[in-house]
Amino acid sequence: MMKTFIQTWRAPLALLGVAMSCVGSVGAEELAIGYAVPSLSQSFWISSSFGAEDEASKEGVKLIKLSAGGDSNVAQQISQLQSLIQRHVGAIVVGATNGDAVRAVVDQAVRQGIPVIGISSPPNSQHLASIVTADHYDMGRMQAECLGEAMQGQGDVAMLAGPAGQAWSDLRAQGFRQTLKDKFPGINVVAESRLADNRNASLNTTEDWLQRFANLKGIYSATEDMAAGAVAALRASGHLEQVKVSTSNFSPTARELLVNNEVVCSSVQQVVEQGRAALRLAVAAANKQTVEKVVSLPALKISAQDVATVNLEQVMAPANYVP
Amino acid sequence: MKASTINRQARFLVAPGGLLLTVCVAGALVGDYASLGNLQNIGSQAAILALLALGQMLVMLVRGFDISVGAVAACSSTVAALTMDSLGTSSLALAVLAGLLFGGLNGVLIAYLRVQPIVATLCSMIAAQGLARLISDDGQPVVPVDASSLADLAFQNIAGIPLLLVPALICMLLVGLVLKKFTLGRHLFMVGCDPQAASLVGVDSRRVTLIAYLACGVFAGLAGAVLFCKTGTGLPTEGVSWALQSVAAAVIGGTALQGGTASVWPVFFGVLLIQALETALNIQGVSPFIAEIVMGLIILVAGGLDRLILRLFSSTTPYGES
Repeated sequence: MMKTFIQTWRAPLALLGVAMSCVGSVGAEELAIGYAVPSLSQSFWISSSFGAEDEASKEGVKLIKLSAGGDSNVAQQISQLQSLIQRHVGAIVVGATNGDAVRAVVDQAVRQGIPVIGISSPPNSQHLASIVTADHYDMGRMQAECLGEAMQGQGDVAMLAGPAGQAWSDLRAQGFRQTLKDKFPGINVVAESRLADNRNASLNTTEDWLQRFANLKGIYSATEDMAAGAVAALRASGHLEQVKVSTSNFSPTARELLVNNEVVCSSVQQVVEQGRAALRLAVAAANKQTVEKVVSLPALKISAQDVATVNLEQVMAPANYVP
Repeated sequence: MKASTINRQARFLVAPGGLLLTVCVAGALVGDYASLGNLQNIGSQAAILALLALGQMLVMLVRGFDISVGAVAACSSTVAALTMDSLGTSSLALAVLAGLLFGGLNGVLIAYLRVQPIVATLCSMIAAQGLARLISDDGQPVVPVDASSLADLAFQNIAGIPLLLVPALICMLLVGLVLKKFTLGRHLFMVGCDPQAASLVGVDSRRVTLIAYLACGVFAGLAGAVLFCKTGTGLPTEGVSWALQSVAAAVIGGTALQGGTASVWPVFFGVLLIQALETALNIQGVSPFIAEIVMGLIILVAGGLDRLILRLFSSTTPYGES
């Protein structure tokens, strides 16, 4: 059988061999930094990508941006990281689709001398050169404070808590729950979804909650896309006045929700600044310089009242930016 | 050489030809693309799709297809992760068993209950997704206490061949052998060409169809085990696009949608072509959105080439060869 196989395929195999041996590599290359994130369709990663790209142009390095196409595409991200390793990039910035699942390939990169910087949802590796993050616990705390006040300390609240297995969503949810417990004991968390992690799923989940919980007065949403889904469901069912929504992150979607008074507040990361910081750290690590192990950027709270005046340069990409 | 022979061979040359072109072009444009390390990298990345495409080829050979393979692989990886701590590496066998059960379900529905493949495998896909979410706490990734050594091992090579790719290569050799040398192989081609004619000469076409779906399920389960080894994690929501990618790889590899024509190694080249393109676009840093469009276009062109070849050498063939 092997003989038949070789006879049938000897010509293409020979050509393949020739091609492999004759193609050469390109000439001297500039420093390249890999930037692998779950999805460049999500506002957070768009803004962080803008920061990284802008900083890369200032630093004079090439930025290779890779999107896994969604939080659930773990295998795709692993393949992309393998490709970056083969590309011999100077360093890799990773926002992990799943911190545990990408650990092995990240460790492989480190073993091959490529420093890895975690951003926002870092890989669960002990060998990261640095982690850039926001104070996610504080973002949850900020949401609890403004939502608790809007609900006047009474009623049921449901949580669109974001995907599990992600440090950012877990920490925000912890901050929210603990602050409610400490400051608003009259508010009960009656439901929590970790699956509704996009606008459409959040819309459907909120519709279900409205049917199930008659005393629902508030909805926590881990991201603004989830908030937009919840608001759409509340608007359609006429519950927008009774049920208050809080959120995190900032984008054109979040701005519109705030301006229209459809969410009470958004706790915001300095997303653009995170991208810049990660890129600076990556370049430094690639150049064998010492870098800080953890860079945690403070959160901001934006309400409907101050959305028009707050400086958002460090928070979101310009509207015309396309990753 | 007869036109029919040229036709048969030509459709199987699309994938290796496309792969050759990709390696040449990408190798010239992208530094280190054609290095041994990157080719091993491509092989390692193609491991899961190779298993899924092999199964897909078998069911397409008997005029079917299976859109549940991605969901079954994800479910199988979850089963392996959940049982890893108690069973150790034997949990990988459970992943294969899970695939076998779904393959059996598909086979019984399609071969014996005459349910359309699209309906039967859609049901299986939804059931596999539901089961994976049920056993994994609402679809959360399942992380065993210690699967790190498995994940580290997954990136090693044996005699220059990526370890992850070895199961797929063994399966391909076995399937190639069965198709070429065993009665079952000839029966698969006969059922694919004309099930009624096959029945008239004593071939149990239902049994043959069931076996094809069982094998497809086993390969999907094995793909789940490979996924688990690769990530050290059970991933219940993975694999959404894998069914279509496996169909694309099979078609690029010369497998006829109308059944009766298939060959193992061109399908493998089809898998490598898809992965080689993806890796080239990744390494070059092409915008991920443009990369998706390019990928779609190239798969379309590869599929179109097959049609072009059929027109150039327009002749009918009784059935293809393995």
